[in-house]
Amino acid sequence: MNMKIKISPFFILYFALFISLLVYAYFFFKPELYYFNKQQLFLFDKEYFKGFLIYPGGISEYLTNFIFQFYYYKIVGACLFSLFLLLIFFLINKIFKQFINSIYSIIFSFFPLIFFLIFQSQYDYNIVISVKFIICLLFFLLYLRVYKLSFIKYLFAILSSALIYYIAGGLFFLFHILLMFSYEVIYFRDNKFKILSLIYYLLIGLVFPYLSARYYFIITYKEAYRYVTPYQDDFSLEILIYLLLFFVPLLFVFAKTFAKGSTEIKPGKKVISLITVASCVFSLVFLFAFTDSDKKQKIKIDYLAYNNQWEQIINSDIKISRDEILKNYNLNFYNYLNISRALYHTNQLLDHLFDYEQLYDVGGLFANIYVPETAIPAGFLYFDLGQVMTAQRYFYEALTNFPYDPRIYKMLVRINLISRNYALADKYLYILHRSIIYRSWADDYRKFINNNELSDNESLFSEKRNCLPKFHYFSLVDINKPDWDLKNLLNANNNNKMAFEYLMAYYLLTNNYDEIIANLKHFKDFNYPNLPKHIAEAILVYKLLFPKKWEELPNREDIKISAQTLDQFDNFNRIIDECGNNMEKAKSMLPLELKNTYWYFLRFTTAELEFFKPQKAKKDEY
Amino acid sequence: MNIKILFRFNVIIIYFILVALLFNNCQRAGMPVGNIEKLAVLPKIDPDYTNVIVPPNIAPLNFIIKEKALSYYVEIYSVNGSKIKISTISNKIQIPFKKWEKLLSNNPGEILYFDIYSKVNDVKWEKYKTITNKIALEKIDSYVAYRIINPGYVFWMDLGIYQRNIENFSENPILTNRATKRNCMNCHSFSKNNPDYMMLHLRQDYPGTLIIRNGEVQKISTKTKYTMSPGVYPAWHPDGEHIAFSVNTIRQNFHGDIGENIYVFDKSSDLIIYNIKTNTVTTSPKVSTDRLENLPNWSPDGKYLYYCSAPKINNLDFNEIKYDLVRIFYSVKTNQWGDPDTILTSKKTGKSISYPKVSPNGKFLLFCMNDYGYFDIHIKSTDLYMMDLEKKTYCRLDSVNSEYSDSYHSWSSNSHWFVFASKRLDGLCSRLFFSYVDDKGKAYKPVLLPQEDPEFYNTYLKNYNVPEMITGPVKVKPWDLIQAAYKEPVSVKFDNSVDIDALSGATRIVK
Repeated sequence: MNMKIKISPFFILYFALFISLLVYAYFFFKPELYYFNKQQLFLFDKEYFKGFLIYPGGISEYLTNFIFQFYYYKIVGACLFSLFLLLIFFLINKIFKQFINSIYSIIFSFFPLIFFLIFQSQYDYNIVISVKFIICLLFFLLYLRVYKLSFIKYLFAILSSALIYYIAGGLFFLFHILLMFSYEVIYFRDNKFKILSLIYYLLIGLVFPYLSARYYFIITYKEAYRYVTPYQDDFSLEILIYLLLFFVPLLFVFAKTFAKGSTEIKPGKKVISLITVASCVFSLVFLFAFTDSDKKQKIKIDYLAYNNQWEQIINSDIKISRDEILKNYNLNFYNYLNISRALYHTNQLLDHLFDYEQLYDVGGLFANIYVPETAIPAGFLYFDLGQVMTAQRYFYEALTNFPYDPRIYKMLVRINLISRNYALADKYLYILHRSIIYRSWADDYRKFINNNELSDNESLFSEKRNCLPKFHYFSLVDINKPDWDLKNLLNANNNNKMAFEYLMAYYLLTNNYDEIIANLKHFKDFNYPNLPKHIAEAILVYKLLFPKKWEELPNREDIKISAQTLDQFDNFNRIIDECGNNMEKAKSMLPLELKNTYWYFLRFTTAELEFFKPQKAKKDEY
Repeated sequence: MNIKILFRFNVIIIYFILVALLFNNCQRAGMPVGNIEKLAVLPKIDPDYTNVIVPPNIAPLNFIIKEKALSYYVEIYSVNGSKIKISTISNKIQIPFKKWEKLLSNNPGEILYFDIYSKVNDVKWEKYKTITNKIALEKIDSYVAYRIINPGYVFWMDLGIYQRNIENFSENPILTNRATKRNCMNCHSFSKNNPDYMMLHLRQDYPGTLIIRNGEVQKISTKTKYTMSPGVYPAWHPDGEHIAFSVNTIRQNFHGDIGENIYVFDKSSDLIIYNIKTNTVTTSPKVSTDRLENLPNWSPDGKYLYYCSAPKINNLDFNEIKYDLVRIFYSVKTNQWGDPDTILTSKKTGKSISYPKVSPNGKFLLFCMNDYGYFDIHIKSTDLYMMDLEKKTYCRLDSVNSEYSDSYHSWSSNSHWFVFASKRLDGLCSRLFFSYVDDKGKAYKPVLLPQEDPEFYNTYLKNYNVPEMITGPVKVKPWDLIQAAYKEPVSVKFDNSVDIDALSGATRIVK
């Protein structure tokens, strides 16, 4: 028998959608970057759960955090990305199929899908928004089921609203009310009760949040009515969420125009394919329009730094314009810290530091602004340098804003193992153990607890222990003068090459020639074959500015500067002389190799540093 | 159709309940039978509830047995009443609340026994040496108020002032910063352990000091042009009409070497007294000198203000700053000051003295001493000491202190208990401990604030800050405090009678 399997066009549609979304997510969106940016522990712990019960919307966040942890696995992340979108598409389609032709319901379903595709493609997006939206759609679908049972409908409306308010929070509660209200406006036929019915929905919408803020939760009215996501989230497209939530009920109005008539148009494969292709084109256009490439670059650099892929950072085509720095100071500040570390780890710090215009002054090397956002990279930097106590301090500060970031816990474990504070290390391991994702990591590290011998044999621990200070000092008393710490690190361990290079880089950025000259002898100690390029550049400036001091310098013959650097210095000075006082002209005439020099930094960038310093907010003294 | 769905839903729920019950039943592991070997050692339990004196009104002391076994059997009993018997395969012992409450109330002043058995294999049980604790005759104040804050130094995010009913596990926020732009709030304080007389500071956003008296909330600003800062560390006068504050210029440095993390110090500090009725702050050249006067606390009769005082030195010589214990007479009726009377000098003790707190019966003075400075919670060497105010002798509370910071303390209203914050569990997070004090001023091994889940402290990373014992709950609602916080504060006036020319350079004098 020749059996022909008939595949539903809807199955093809869903399958095609799933595959395309999966491919997009896996290869273009890159769920590993999304996870990296938003990573947090989900703990199987009563106290962790209780933290989500104290405000409306917390439960959906708890649920989301549970799901989100699986983004840790790239392929699972891509699948979840696609499934959320598919579920939204499916539910919207299911809702609209109840009262309009399937063909139109498919078209309608694509609108929210595109919105959510754009949302989910943003790295600062919290998927809790998708979850809350899905919860609302599910409840609305149930509402439609009981719609014809008038008493039950009203009972359901009030109960589901209370539930949604607690589960999804203020804004999505209002969305739920709006859905029911709009549906009532358009489809309720009994004019006698229509007004009463609408007042009923309005009252629910107004009263619930008010009562919750007034008597139950410690929240503001704003939060009671408009809560979307946790306050740490700073979603750049938040306005679009509002737009979407008002747009979906509007679809009911459109739907009435296409209401089910006598002739049901059954969509064929061709029509569905056409709609799908059109939607894909729209999606791509919008995705392109809304992609925040700066943010993606920052996350990528941070991701590579976390995974010690230093070469890849250097090889990435990183371009940070002055406008970008001014526009997003902290974000690019973050980039600079990681780039500087990458330069060090690839042995290029003192040769290529000025390939990146150091508009952050010493801040591009050291986190010299004290804000929660820079606490994590500053923690990593000081850990790298061997100043583990300062690193610990930064990680504690970071915990305030990112209380469940696993990176912080891992680093605190390492730091406390290094300082042999086993009780504390065990505490963090205990916390990590409560996460299914990080359990094996925690179990692996538990072997070091109270085991000095094993811990002594661990190379990272012993390397950092060798850098521990031998006597007391206060760290970073002045955040703009990290040289005190670096000198102390070198006192503790004169083989700490990173501390030495960062100290030299600090002297370059602060134009401290005397210290550079005084430390020249150490380049031999660290087995440098030649003087690094920027150091040689600084010496030439020193020679020019302080000829008398230069003449008095013993062993100056030992200071070898390459012919290429000497030529470049001549060229630089020649171009500057040719341009006279016209700085802009000089800048434009200098070739790239002369722009990536200490001389350029000294001549042009230093004059602009004040302009790029962040404005300090006025502090209240109370 | 819908009824069908509901029916199915109910069936599912009932199914899950049955499964849960079945599972719960499986947890019952049976009583020890047959071969029971008696061990001569105490079982390891966490928290360490061994040889402690227990308040007769405390919540169940749930604990974890840190001995490996297939199952456990625990009997908790005293002289009167029946035993509490717990049989479980889990090492987590959660004592039934009602039975515990009854056991304690029937046995004040008696010994409390914990018998712990562990099943080591199918046929063998072991019985550990009996743990003995004692139930005190005197109750502890039923509530403790504290601040919950993350272990950061400069930043904070979610924080709040909470109250915990010690008699059960209920904890409620008095005020959290979720509705006040995540501002800082600190230095909550009560008058004579009375929850109806409370104050706290709000910092950064909505700045000011909230003063709560019998349900009425006022917001004031204690900043004046004659004082270097708004009021900081408070002490209510027993009359409920006056609050002594220190005014401080606080700074902090971070240690670069392993050990302590942060050093908090004052560049300058003085004392002021705020009169709630007249909305006036006053001071005197005697407590506003070029030394660092700090951490005021009233004697229970309200006649003396105890405080700490140290000479100013360069902060880099941090371990040289040592405070003396001083008291001064002050009459709230006449606004008259006596002369400072140094009670105990750092020269004599070799240590720095901080947070003097006189017991409500006026007999004892509980205070901290450490190697330097006054910001005890961050100084590992901080320990608690008791002074007999009649005999003028003092001693270190050896049975109370630990190798980590044991600091901020508050007396229960009957002078037989005090609460303090200690970092002994992990060196990082401060936890609350209650210690019994007998009539002679001897303090006993403390009890950790019990939690419903005995594993609670293993994962909880926030600090319990500034514990204050209170006789009942704070009744004013968070909503009322939030509304008061939103208001503009009423500025306090500076006392005209004070000769500001005589004040120290430490006080910002602007004529």
